[in-house]
Amino acid sequence: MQHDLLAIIPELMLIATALVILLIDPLLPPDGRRGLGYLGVFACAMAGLSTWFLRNEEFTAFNDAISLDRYTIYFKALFLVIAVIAMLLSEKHLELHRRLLGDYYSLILLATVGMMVMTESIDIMTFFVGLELMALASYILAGFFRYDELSVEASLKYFLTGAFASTFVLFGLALLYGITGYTNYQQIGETIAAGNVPGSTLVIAIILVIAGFGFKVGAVPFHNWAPDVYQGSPTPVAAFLSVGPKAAGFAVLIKFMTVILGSESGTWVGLIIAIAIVTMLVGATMALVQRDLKRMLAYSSIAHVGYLLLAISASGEEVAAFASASIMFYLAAYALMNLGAFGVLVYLSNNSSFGNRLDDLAGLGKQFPWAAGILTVFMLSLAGIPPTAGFFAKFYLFAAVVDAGLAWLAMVGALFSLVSAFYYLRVIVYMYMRQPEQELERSGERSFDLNLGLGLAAVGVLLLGLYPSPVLDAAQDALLMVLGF
Amino acid sequence: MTPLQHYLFLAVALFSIGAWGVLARRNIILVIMCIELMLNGINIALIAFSNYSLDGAGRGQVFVFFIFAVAAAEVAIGLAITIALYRLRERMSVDELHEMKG
Amino acid sequence: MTPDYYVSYLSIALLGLADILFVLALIGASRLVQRRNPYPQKLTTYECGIEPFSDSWSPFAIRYYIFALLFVLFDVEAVFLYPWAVIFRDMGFTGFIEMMIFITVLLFGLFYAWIKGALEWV
Repeated sequence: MQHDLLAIIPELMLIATALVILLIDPLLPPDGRRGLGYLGVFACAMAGLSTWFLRNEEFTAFNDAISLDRYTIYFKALFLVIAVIAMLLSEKHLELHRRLLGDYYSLILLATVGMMVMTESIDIMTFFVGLELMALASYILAGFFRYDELSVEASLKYFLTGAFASTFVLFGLALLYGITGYTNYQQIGETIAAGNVPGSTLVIAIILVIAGFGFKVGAVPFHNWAPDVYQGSPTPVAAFLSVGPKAAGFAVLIKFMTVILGSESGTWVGLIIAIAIVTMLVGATMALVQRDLKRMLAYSSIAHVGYLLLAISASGEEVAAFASASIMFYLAAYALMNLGAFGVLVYLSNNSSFGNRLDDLAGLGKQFPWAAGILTVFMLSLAGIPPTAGFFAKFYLFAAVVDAGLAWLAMVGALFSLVSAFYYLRVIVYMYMRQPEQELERSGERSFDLNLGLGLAAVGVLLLGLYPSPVLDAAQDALLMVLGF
Repeated sequence: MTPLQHYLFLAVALFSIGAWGVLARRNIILVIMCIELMLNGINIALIAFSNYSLDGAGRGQVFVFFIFAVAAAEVAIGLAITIALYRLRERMSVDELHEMKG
Repeated sequence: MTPDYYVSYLSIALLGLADILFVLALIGASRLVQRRNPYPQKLTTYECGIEPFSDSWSPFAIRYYIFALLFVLFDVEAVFLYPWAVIFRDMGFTGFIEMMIFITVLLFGLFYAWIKGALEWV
C-alpha cells in the first residue's frame, strides 16, 4: 500500500495542485490569477524533485498496474519539462486574450498526469485511463479561447478525430485481451510469443492499435486533424499539443511494440515502414507550400513523426535498444525545439501585430533581433544542423536505422530531411534578407515568464547539441534496466 | 450457452455501424452518439471475452466500468465544445468546420 | 450448439407473431365498424385537453444541456460505488478510505461547478 503510493508521488502532487487551482481560481480577483501559473510551475518542480529521489527505485505497484523504473522516470522528467515551459509561455498570451484562468494550468497539469500514467502503466486498463485523461484535457485546451471561432473549431476537430481514434486503440486492446485472457503487457506478450493465439485476430488487433496510435501521434494517413488543430488553437496550447501527446504516444508505442508485440515484429515492421515513408513524404512536401507558420510547423511535426516511426521499425530488429534510445533522445530534442519555435510565435504576437504568416517574418532580424536570433536557433535545430540538438537527434536516429540493416530507409529519411531543411531555412532567409512591405506595429507587452521559457528551450537545444551524452546515457540506462535488452 | 462468436458478431456490428455513422453523419450530436455506439460495441466484446476468458478473473468487466466513466466524460466534453461552437455560429453540422484549409 | 437451444426460442417467435396478428385484427375490426368524420378540430394533437400552441419539435434552451451534462457525469461516476459496495466487507477500512478519496475528488468537481455558476438558472 505505502509502496503503491510512493510510485505515484509526482502524479499525486500535480493532481492535488490542479484541484486546488480549480477551487481557488474563481475566488481570486482577476489580477490575482497570475500567481496560479507559478503555483503550477512550483508543483512541477516539486514533482521533478520527487522523481529525482525515486530515480533508483524499480518496482511495480497497484497489482502490476504501473511500474516505476528508469524508463518511466526519463519520460516523467521530460513531461515535466514540457509542462513547465508550456506554462511559462502561456501567461501573457492568455492575459492579452482575456482568458487568464486557473483552469488552463489545471488542464495542463492533468494532461501531464495523463501522459505520465500512460507511460508508466504496464496494464492496458491503466494505459487507457491515462490516455483519456491526457486526451480529454487537451481537447479543452485546444478550445480554450472559447470566444474565438478558430479555437473552438480546432477543439471540436481534435475531439472528433481523437475520440474516434481512441475507439480503435480500445478495440485493438479488447481483442488482445480476448485472445490472450490477460491485461498485463508482460503476460499478453508472453502468451502471444507462446503462439497459442489465433493469428488473424492478432493481425486485426495489431492493425487497429497501429491505426489508433497513428491518429494520436499524427501519422499519415491519419494526420488531417493536425494542421487545423495547431493553427486554430491558442499558440501556447499548440506548442504543448505538438510535443506532449506525441512524446507520450511514442513512449507507449515503444513499450507496446517491444513488450507486447516483440515476437510479432514480422507482422508490423513492414506496416510501420510504409506509414513512416508516407508520413515523411506528406509532412515534408506539404510544409513547403504553407504560408501560415503554425500550419508549416504542424506539417513539419508530421515529418518528424515520420523519422520517429523509422526508428520504431528499427526497434523490431536485433538492435532494438539503440533504436529505442535514439527515439527517447529525439523526443527530448524535438520537445525543446518545437516548444521554442512556437514560443517565439507567441512572443511575436504578444509584442506586435504579427499574424503568424510567413510574410510577417520579413525584416524581423532588424526589428526584433533577439526573437529572430532565437528562432534561428530553433529552425537550425529542426532542420538538423549542428551544433544543435536536432543534429545529434537525427544523427543517432538514422545511425540506429542503419544498424538495424535498413540503410536504404535511412537514405530515404535523410533525403526528406534535406527537403525539410529548405522550409526551415526559408524562415531564416525571410527574417534576415527580405525587406518588409510595412513594419509590424509594436505593442510592447513584455513578459519575464515568456522570456524565461524561451531561454530555457534555447539553452536546452544548444546544450543537447554540444553535450548530448548525459541525456543519451540516461536513455540507454533506462532501456537496459527495463526492457531487458 | 451462446457461443462467443455470436457476442463478437454483435460487438463488431455495433462498432462498424458506429464507425460508419461517424464518417457519414453530418450532425455533430449524431457523430458523438455514433462514437458512443462504437464504445458500447467494445464493451460487449470485453464482457463476452471476460465471460469466456481463460483466467476467469473478470478483468474485462472491470475494464468496462472504466470505459463507462471515460465515455461519460468524453460525451460531456464533446457536447460542451459543441455548445460553445453553437453559441458562436448557431449551427451544428460538421460541414461548418471549414474555416481552416490547406 | 444443440438444436434444442434454438428450438427454445421458437415459442417466443410464435408469441410475437400472435401479438402482431392480434393487434392487426383489433385495428382492422375497428376500421370496419367505425364512422369517419374528420374535421380540423378533431385532427389536432391531443395534449391533455390543452390546445396545442406550437410545434412540438421546438429546440430546447441550451442551458438544459449544462444540467444534463453535470447529471450524466455524476450519475456515471456512481457506477464505481456498486462493485465497491458488494465487496465492502472484504476491503475493510482501506477500501473505505479509498472510496472517500474518490468521492472527495468528485465533490471538488461539484464545488467547482457551483462556484463557476453552472448550477444557477440564468
